[in-house]
Amino acid sequence: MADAPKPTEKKPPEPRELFKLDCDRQLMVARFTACGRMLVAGGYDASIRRWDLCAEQTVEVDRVEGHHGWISWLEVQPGGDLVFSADTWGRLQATRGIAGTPEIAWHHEQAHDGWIRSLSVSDDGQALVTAGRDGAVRVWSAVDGRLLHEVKDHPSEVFAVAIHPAKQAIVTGDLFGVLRRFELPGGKCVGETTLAGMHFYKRIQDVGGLRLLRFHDEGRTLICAGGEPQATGRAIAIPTIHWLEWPGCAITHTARLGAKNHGFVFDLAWHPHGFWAVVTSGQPGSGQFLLLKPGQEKPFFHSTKMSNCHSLAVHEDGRMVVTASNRNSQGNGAVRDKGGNYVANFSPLHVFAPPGSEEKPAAG
Amino acid sequence: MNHCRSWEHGWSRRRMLGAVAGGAGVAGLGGMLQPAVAEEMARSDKQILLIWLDGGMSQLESWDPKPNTPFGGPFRSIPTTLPGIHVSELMPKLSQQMKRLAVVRSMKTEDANHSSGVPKILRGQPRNRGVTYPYLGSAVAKLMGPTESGLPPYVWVKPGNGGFIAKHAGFLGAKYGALALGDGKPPANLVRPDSISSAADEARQELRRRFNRQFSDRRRGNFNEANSYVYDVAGTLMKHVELFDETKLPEKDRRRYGTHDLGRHALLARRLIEAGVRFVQVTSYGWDTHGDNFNSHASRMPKVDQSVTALIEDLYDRGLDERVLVVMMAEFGRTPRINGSVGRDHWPNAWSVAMAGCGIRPGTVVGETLPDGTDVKTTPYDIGHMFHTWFSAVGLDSAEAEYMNGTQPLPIAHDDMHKVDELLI
Repeated sequence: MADAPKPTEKKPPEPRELFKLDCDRQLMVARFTACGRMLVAGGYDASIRRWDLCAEQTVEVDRVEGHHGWISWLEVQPGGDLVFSADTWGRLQATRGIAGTPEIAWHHEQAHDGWIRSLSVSDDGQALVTAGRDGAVRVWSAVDGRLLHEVKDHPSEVFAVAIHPAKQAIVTGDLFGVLRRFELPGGKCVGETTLAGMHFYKRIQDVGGLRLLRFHDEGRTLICAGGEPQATGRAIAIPTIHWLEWPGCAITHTARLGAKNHGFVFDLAWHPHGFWAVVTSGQPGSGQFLLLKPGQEKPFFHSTKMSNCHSLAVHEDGRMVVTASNRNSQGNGAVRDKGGNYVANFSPLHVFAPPGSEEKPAAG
Repeated sequence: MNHCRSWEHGWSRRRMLGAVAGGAGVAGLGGMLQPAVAEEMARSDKQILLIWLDGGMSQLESWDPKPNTPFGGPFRSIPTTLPGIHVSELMPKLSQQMKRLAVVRSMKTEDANHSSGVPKILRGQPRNRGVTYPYLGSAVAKLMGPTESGLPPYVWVKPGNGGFIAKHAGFLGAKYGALALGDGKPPANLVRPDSISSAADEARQELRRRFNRQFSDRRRGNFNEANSYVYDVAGTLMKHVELFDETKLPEKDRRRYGTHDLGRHALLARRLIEAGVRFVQVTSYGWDTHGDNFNSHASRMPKVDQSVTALIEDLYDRGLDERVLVVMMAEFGRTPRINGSVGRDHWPNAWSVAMAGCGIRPGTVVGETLPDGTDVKTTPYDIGHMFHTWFSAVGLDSAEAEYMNGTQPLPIAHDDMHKVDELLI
């Protein structure tokens, strides 16, 4: 008896790249504004870069200056007009009118002493929390920049921070892979959980693996992302995401999204079509753009076409933007361009239509 | 532990002997120094302590920051005790030591590979004369010999395994290799077991010496010299076992230097220097930060800052700065360009070396790089210039002194290069 024909396995729909934008410097983070009209980003040149998505052809418009060092984090106010940006020299800034004529609504030149590692905005857009290399964790009023709460003397260097949607708790992730819960107001530490594998020490270097925290599902789930470091020096890691139930912080699901010699989950976002979009970056060529359904360990879409992806954002219409780094950017020695100039690397921004979309590719 | 089973262990006097003997056979009659120079240097009390950051520390995250420039990275610079001079914010303690330090910001060397770059830098990359030049520690061991302490002249404190590293000596002969103390630990079986009396041990040594004399009658002197040397080293170390007992160190010292590898090893280095070791090298591995360079330096630099500051403070507090030269360097710096892995790659084109102590003009910054750090703006210096400078700092005229490799005279540093006078007192 002949074998019955195997059912045809339907390949899941994939996102399609619509266009690519160029940016002459490397970016750390990119986001769509709440109004959806603008793509904003920040990175190594300390300016907020803006692309007008409503123009006939997407073009970059004037930058917003004021930062120093690198813009380390940038978030938009949910349902509001503000964009919050933080830099590696300690400046925290709120910019109003980013989609039109931007003006600085408020700023703190020294919100932290040095590198602001992480910034998170509450779901209602009324508060934001920052964590810095100075060991401080601070909650600010989004409206006027007032300091609302403070966790002083955090016992270790914080890499990631998030504020619970109910604004009654903040959570930090540190260099050693330790998750800490603090109640608001007061800032009292009410719990610690060590995420095994998210820290590595050798040869006088601590490699922190817990780099990103996000609340999801109205605060019932806490996402801890980054990597399980395997070595110092090159700082390779297995890109990893843990989903934890809140407030107990027990791990309910884990996805390891690469080999031991890859890198870290740099950014992720929930897509309204019901999946997680994730980007990773690590060794040359190991950058990944992944789409992952809840509860699954393997992505249904996996692209390594972009090198070293550092940021990802989802537009309200479902489009996604991924920032990458130019290829051929690695290497020893003084590689120069055709004109003989020693140029910096840069970050192309790739805009994708969601899987199943009929939207056609267009020029950037 | 028992002497009789020493070869069963990873690192032992017997294993050290094997390494030395093997190297000596190859070395032949190499490495004779002009007698007058040797005599003068043997009386010198100068010592050298090299801190080697293997893999390549970033100059931009340490001695030559370029904040708010295209390649400057995320960190700020901070003022130092030298007016107008800034260093990375990752070195707050060393910034307060700048009046005691000298920094060369215009190092420009040739080799961007670890495997070839490390030996080139540590040998001072002299002109090719068909011989393998010694590493700096072996060169100093040969040129200056042990101090009056009789302790081995070249001790290498490093993470990982120890042993006797004969290959560092190059043409000088195995005797001038490095005694490597893996993780700062002494050679295994160093202490004479209680079951062997002092008299019995001495009788054994005498028997060995007799056999050795018979052995040497039929072989070249250099070979036998190397054989005997390791026993002398072991015997000398046995008299200084307290050097390796960390439990008796003041807690305050351990805290000041740090309890990490570099802190423990730098503290041991200070004690080895105080005990009279001529040349001590402390190695820290893992500086090859092709990925995550800034988090890496954020983790590493504070440990360097802590331990090297404690070392400099102690040398000055104890008056050792007048006779101990301290050098901190790597095989190259790191690229200005930040790669896609947020790392920096290898960069010999424009990097920095720091030094302090004996013979060095304190509070000196020599050379300058371009505003974006991509090249040297002023006179570039190669490692050969540094070798001339360091030899001069400890009283050795590198323009005159020569090795004698059999009948072949060889300069002790690159003969097209010279000392940097600005760095010297």
